[in-house]
Amino acid sequence: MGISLKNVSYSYQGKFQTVKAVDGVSYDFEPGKCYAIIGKSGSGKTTLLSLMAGLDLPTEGEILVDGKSTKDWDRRRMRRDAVSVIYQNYNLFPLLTVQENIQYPLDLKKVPRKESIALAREVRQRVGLPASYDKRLPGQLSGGEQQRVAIARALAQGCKIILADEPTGNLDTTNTHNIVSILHSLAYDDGCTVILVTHDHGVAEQADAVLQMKDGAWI
Amino acid sequence: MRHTIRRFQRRPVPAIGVMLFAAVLAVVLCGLQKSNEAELEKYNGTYHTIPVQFSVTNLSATKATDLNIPNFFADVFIQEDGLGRFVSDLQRVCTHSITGQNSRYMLVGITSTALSIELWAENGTYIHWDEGYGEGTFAGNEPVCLVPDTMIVSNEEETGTSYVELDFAFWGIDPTTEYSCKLRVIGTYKGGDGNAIYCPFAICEKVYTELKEPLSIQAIRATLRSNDDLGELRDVSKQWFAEPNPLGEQTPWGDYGYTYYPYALDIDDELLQQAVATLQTRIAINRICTVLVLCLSAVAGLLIGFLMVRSRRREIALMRTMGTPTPAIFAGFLIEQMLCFGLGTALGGAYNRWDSADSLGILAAAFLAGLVAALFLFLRKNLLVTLKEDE
Repeated sequence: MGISLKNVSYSYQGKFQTVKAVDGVSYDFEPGKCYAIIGKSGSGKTTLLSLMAGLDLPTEGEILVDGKSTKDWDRRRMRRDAVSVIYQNYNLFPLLTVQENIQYPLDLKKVPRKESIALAREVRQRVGLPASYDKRLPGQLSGGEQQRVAIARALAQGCKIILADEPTGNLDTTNTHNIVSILHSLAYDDGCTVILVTHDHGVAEQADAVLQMKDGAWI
Repeated sequence: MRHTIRRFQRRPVPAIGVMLFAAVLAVVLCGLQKSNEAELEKYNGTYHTIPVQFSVTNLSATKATDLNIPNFFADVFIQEDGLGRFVSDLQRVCTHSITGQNSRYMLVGITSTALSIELWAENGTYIHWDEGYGEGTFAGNEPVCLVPDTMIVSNEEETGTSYVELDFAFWGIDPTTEYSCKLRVIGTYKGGDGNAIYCPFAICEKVYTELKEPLSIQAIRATLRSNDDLGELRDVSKQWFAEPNPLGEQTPWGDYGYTYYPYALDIDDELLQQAVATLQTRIAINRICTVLVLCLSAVAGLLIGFLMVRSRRREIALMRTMGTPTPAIFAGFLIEQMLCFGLGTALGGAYNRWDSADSLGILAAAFLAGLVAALFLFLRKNLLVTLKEDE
């Protein structure tokens, strides 16, 4: 499942003027590859990621997810079944345990409880977290561990497009390395389209393609 | 639901806070309503037990002296849409002077079977008869009343009404002395029968005819059957009477009104108003407090909803990015807060032993309205903007 940008622009109304956050961006992201989007703050990376995640619609152009425009998708369904997002600040549910966090997307899909528990354990193992973490709350985990849980949740969601917004931004070198490895394995082993937004050139260099943004457009 | 319960288990303080707040509101609201019900009960008791009287007076003091006794009053009181239907007791007081030479009178009254009449003389003499028994009771001091056997005549078979003729005379009095005799006629009108109003005016008219001198009505007084009819009585009486005018000026309608409505109907409910004024004030204060508590509940719902959603907006955004349906998010929050508020309200209700608990539903509804408003405000926010705010 790939994702294509066709002359995508996005403007929003600022306090005093209309701001064009993304300006005529086109690109084809292929399945089984890992991409990195880099650029300074305010260059439009996160906005573009949000558009690809179906959180909003482009004001011009279109984004094709699995060959279908985001305008034509039921965007709630698209976010549930097609695109997973991993955030810099992990965005786990603070009052749900690790296992419950991973199970959340499965509950949304109404997967039977036994099956969802088994699947949650499987993906937790895959991101390298031991079984003793199942009952812990996110606040009891380190940053690297929380990001692993976030990745496990994306894995459980079963989407073939993984968008990661600064996934290693809050992590040390060791954890960064581990997380990047997991993301690569998602692309290369599972055939997912992985798109990372990052400031870290070290992380970007490990991607199959690096796209640089400035003022809402590719450089 | 599972997540909601776990959230309660893992972070109980906000839930307990909302619960206690709701309990306090419920206790206050139940207390207010209970107090209101008690005051209302007192009010109703007072309102219906204090007899309200009204009296017919003449607007002009100068006119009272040459006042004749018109059939107008009888008509007004007997008519079905007249004032008779409001009346429980009717009293008319009239006075006239008699002398020994003119001491024999024919008094005529038309009564119903439910009526008893007493004729009182000012010096203690009174005549009393109960319709239907055909006998009279007489007592008192001098002058002595003599009542012939023929005093009661009933033509009930012919006319459907009882007709009583009373012929009495004063004996043993000094023919040269002028006696003042006050006739007080008390009738009991049970209502429902237009003919039940006896006709003391006819008595008076008869007296007047024989005396050939003007007879002054001092007052027509009546006690209302029910105070609930006060407002209607005021409306109806406007058809027949002017408003009381203590200055003795003309009626508000000018000459026309004075000509055709020379009497004023004075409804004396001052005692009643005084008795219920304090209760009315208390009831009004209670009602204001009740509205304030309900408003407070709605504002609390709004604030709690606002703060709750605000503190968890990242969670909400996350749920939405993961494809959770908005109604499910909405329902989740509502269930959570209504559970807390509902339990708190139930605690408050139980504390009050479920007295006056019917208002608790309104309390919960006010809270819910505030909560829904807050949720709507937040969930309408653009997801992208919310996510950007978070970061």
